[in-house]
Amino acid sequence: MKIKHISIPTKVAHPGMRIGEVMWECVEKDVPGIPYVDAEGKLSGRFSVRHLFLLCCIPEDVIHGAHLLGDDIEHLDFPHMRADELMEEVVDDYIFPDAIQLSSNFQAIKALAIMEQYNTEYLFVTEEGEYQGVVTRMSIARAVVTKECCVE
Amino acid sequence: METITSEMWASAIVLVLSYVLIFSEKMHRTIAAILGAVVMIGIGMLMGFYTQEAAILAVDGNTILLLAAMMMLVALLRPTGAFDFAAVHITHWANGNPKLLLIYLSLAVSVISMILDNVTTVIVFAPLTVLICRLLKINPMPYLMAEAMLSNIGGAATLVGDPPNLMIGSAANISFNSFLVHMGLPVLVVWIGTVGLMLYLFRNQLKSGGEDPRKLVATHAIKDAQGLKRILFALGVVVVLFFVHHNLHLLPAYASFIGVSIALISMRPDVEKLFGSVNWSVLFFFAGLFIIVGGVESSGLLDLFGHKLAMLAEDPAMLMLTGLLLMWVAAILSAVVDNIPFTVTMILIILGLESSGVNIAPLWWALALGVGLGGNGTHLGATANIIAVSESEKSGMPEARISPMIWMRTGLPVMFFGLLLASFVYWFFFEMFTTA
Repeated sequence: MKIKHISIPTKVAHPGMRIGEVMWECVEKDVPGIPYVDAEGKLSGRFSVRHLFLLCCIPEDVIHGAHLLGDDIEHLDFPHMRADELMEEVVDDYIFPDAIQLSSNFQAIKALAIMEQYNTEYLFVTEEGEYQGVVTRMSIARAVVTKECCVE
Repeated sequence: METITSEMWASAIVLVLSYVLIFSEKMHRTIAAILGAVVMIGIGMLMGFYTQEAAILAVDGNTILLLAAMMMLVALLRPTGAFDFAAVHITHWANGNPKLLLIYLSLAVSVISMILDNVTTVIVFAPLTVLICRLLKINPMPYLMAEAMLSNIGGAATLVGDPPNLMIGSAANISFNSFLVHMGLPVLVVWIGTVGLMLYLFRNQLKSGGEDPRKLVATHAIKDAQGLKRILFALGVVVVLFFVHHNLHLLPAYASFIGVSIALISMRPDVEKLFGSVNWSVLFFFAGLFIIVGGVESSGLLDLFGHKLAMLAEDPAMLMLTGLLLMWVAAILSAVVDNIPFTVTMILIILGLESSGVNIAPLWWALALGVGLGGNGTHLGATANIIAVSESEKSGMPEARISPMIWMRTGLPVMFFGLLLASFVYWFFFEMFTTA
């Protein structure tokens, strides 16, 4: 099963795009992140929903002591958890430079192995340097369940 | 021996260059120490004042192995959730009172730091402290600073509480009990004074928010109850052995490895993971320093230095002043540079004084107090301080951020006030400090 058959085509994030727009693309396509293409048209990083939450909403001490929190923590006032303001911010400050790209001819098994190696849920698929889409564990699972994996 | 020989010059140059590399932080301090040790041995062999065998003997195995054993015990204790459990109960006892919370947290880290490594104690307590403060809607800055400073002070009380104490105790053959007896009183006085001073300096930040205190819950604090019981038993054995190690003629390192053996047999941990958690870079840093200073000692330079100092310390009336001077110089230097290289060097100088007939016992205690209290002066004075600063930055609360200036505004008064109190105890009970 080659990953070109199971990747999910998405838009890419560009310099100056709002976080809300990029988040919406992730939510709509059900992917954990999308690539970031810089002003020169080069795929130079990624926008990741997980890392946005880590940066803006969950301080490290809360992660460290999550198992000690009770149910009455609705008053916890995360300093950056201002959703409306956050969605209006430009995406450029929230881009991670490490974007793992795979050739569209790679087999799914190799994609799964690389996901394990890098402890990630998704990878970007390219063909001759052009971005094709995102392959996720769930997209591979979907292909297995729906027998799409039988397609060469 | 009155003149400085070429061997002394050579060893002094290697020592100074190594220390410049360490303090300038141009490279990791362990790399600098290993490099310095290799150069010292090489030059020593060429000039005939140092040998490979002498270098190996210069490494204080008791200090290195004791540190390694305690690191392993802490690595086994940490995942059981014991620290989380303690933090949860402290929040409950404080019941939302910011001043009580500061006192309880400070007391907890101080007591734990008397037996376990204070850096690990602060690493574990600092994020929990920020979380507690987040729940109580109070500024975590005073708490982070108090924890770091009082863990430094608490660690100064015992033989195993602070690496410099380990080195001093090992070199001077001072028992755990003797350390506690001599250092206990000054540290207690300094601890009370420091907590009082911090309550005063942070009086504006320690006002109660007046809201219902939200608390942490203990339900999931303990992650491995069986493991906790076993490691506490092993630690209990170690603490008991520390109290009697002198009577049983056991080195503290051997006593701690008895505890490690009990823990290893009863807990059967993943050995690779356990050894991975030992801070080898610290151990090799210490070993490198021992070799560098051992080379200087072999060259005869430290003896010469000791003879000069002996003239000052020979007069019993001057001995107390020498001790006080040593305490203050050690503290001020420890506030700005790593206190380990200074301690290793001073240990050999003090040992050199002994051969001149000087009673060196008061100097050991002065050195231990100085290096123990000096670390509080600046944010770079102790590793625990750096952890507190880093945690304040990670909290994402602008009001919690501890800048170097903010640290010094509290740290310097705390350091000097502590030194004044320690000096008073040292002067008033000087008779007690004349024995080791």
